[in-house]
Amino acid sequence: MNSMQERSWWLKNKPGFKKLEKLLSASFDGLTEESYWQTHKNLLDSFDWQLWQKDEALLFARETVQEEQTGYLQLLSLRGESLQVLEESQPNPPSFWWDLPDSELREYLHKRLDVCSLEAVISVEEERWLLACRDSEQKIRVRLEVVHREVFRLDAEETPRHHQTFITCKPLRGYEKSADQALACLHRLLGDPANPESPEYLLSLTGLQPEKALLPSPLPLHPNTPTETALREAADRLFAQARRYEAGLLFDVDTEFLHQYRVNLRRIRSIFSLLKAALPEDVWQELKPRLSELSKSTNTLRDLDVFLLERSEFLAMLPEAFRPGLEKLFHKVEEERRLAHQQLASQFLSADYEKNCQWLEAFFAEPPLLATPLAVMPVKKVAGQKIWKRYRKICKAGQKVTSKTPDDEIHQLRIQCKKLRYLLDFFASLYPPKQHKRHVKTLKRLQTILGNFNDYTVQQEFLLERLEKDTTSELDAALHGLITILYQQQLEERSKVMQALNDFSAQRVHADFKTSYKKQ
Amino acid sequence: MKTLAIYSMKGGVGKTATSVNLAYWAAQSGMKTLLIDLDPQGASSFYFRIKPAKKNWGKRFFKAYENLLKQIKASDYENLDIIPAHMSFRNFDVILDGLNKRKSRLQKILKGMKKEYDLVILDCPPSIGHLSESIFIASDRLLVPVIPTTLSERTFAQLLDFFKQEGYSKKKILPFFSLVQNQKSMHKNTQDNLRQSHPNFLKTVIPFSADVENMGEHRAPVDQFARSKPANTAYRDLWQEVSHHLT
Repeated sequence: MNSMQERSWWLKNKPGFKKLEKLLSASFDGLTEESYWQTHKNLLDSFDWQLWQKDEALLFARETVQEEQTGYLQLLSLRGESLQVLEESQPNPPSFWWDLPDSELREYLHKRLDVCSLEAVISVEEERWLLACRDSEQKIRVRLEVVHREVFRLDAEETPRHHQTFITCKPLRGYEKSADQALACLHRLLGDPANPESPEYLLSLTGLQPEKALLPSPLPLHPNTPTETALREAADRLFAQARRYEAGLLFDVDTEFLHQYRVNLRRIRSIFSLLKAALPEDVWQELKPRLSELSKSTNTLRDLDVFLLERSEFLAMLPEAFRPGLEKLFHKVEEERRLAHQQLASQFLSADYEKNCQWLEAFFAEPPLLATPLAVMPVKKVAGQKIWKRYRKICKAGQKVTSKTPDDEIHQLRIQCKKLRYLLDFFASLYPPKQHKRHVKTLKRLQTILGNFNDYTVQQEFLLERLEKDTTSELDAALHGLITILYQQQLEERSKVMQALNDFSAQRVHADFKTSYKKQ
Repeated sequence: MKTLAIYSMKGGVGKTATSVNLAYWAAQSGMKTLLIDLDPQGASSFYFRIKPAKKNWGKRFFKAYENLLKQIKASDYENLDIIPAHMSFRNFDVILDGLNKRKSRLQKILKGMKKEYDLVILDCPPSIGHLSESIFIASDRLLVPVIPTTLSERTFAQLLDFFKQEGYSKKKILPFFSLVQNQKSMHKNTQDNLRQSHPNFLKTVIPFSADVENMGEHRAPVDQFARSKPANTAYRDLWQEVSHHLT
C-alpha cells in the first residue's frame, strides 16, 4: 500500500464523524477545519464518447471559495488518475477544443475530437470541507476532506439525483507515517476504501452506458446466417445508429452529426447494392430510391460543410493580398449553409421524412423473404466470393491505367476501391482481426491517393462554379489562384496513382488476398 | 526551474523573513516551490512549524540527491515544500568539503529537482565560504537584503568586490532595502546614495515592522495573520518584482 496515495471511504451518516475524531485523537494533537468550498463539476465527452473509447474522461470544474470563482479542466483516466490539467478561469465548459487557450490539453483534444463538440453528460454539485490533523507544533500532518454531493446525468430532464458523502485522506510529503496512522483509523472505522471520484464510477452510478450507445465495430455476423438475414439485421442496427444523429443535426451542434448520419446511411446503401441479388428485383427497386432520397437531401449541406471546414487551409494557400476576397466568399457560403441547414431541418421535421423512415425501419425488421439464391447463401461464403472478385476487378482495371488514362476512369477506380472497402468492413467479423487490419491498411494507401485526386477535382469544380456565379475582381483573383494550386496538386497526386495501383496488385498482396478469400 | 538564493554576509538583515514570505508568495502564484533552509540558525523551518529530521544523512555524495529527497516536507500551503534546517546544511557541508569541483556540486544536486519544482529558494547562512560560493554558482539570482546603514553599505561593497575578484557575474545580484525606517535620516540618505551608485537596487522596500517580528509568535507567513498590513503588501510586491527578474 502506497501511503502517499489518496484514498476515500463512504460516510453513511454524520455521527460516524465523532467516532473518527476520537480514533484520530490517539495519533494527532488536534483536528481543525481548514476551509469550505463548493464545486460544480461536469463530466464532458463527445456524442460518440470519443474520450471514453480511449479510456479517458474530461472533467470541467468550477470552484467557489469565499465568493471567488475559479475553473479548471482535467483529463482523467476512467479509473480517476489525473492525466493533464488546464487551469483556466472560463465560467463555462468548452464546446470545442478551439475554445481553449493554447496548451497541451488543447492540442490533445484537437487530435482526439477534431470537429466534434463536447457536451456535459453528468453534473456533480459538491460541498467540500477540508480538515487538518495537526501535531504538537500545530503543523498539519495529514489532511482529510469530507465531500457531500449530488450527482445526476444530463441527457434528460428530471433524472434521478444521487446524494452521497465520502471522506478522503490526503497525505502530505514527508509525513508518510502520519498518513499511515490516519489511513489505519479510517480503515478500522469504515472498512474498505472506495473510488467515488472516478469517471467510471460516476457513469455506473448514473446508469450511463456508452458501450450501448455505440455500434460494435465490426458488426458481428455469424458465418452461417443467410445473406439476406445478415443484411437486414445489419441495416436495422445501422439505421438506428443513423437516426441517433438526427437531433444533433437538427440543432446543428457540430458538423460531425450530419457526417455520421450520412456515413451510416451510405453503409446501408452500399451493402444492399453490393449484395442486391439477395433481394427480388422488385423489392430492391422499391428500397433503392427510398435510401437514396434520404442521402440526396443532405448533399448540399455536406458540400458546404466540407468547403467551410477547409477554410484555414485554403486561406493559407494564398498570399495575404488575395485573402480578403476569399474571406468574402466564405461569408457568403456561410450564409448559404445556414439556409441549407434550415431547409434540411424542415425536411427532417416533415411527415414525409418520418413516413419514409418508418417504412425503412419496418422493412429492415421484417423476416427475410429468402427468395433468391444469394439470399439463402451463408454469409461467410458470399463474403469470400465478393471480396476476391472485387479485388481482381480492381487489379485488372489498374493494369490498364497509364499516364494517359482519362480522369474519369481514375474516378471509376476510386469507386471500385470504395466498394471493396465496404465489403471488407461489412464482413470483417468473419475474418481474423489482424488479417482485416492488414488488408484495410493496404487498400487505404491506394484510397488515400485516389481520394486526394478526387478531392482536388471536386474542389476545383466547386470553385469554378463560384467563378461563374459571384464574381468580383478581388474574388476572381483569389479563385484563379486557388484553382491553379489545386490543379497542380491534382497533377502531383495523379502521378502517384500508377505506383499505388502497382503496389496494390503486387504478387505478395495478390497471394495474400487469394489465400484469404478465394474458395479453397 | 529557477534557483533564487536569499543571501547576506551579515546576519539580522531580515533574510529569513524574506525567504519565508517570498517562498509563500511564489507558491501562491502557482509555482511549485521548494524552500531549502541552509541556515542552521535561521528559522525558516521554524516559521513553517516543521521539526528538523532526527536521522543523520549518509556522507557519500552519490546518495546526496536521494537523501535530499527524503528530507522534503510539505508545508501547510499549497505548492510549497521545505527541506528543514540543520541536517540539510550539515549534509551540504559534508558534500562540499570532501570533493573536487565542489563548488558546482550544489548546482548538480539541485538540477535533479527540475522534474518537480519550478523554483528553489535557498535561505543561506550569513558567511562567505565554500558553501556560499557554491550557492553563488547554483543560483540564477542572489537576492540580497541591505539595511540602509553605513555598516550594511560596506558589507554590500565587500560582496561586490568578492564577485569581481572571483569573476562571478554581478548581474546575478539583486539587492533590495530591508528593515527600512524612513523616519531615520541615515536610512533615507543611505538609500539615496546607494540607489545612485547602484541602480540595480529593487524598487520595493521592506519596511521595519512589528508584523514581521510577530512571525515568530504566529509561526506563519505575514499574509496569514496581517493580511492588510504594509509589510505584507511589501513582500507581495517584492515577489512580483523578483519574479520578473527570474524569467
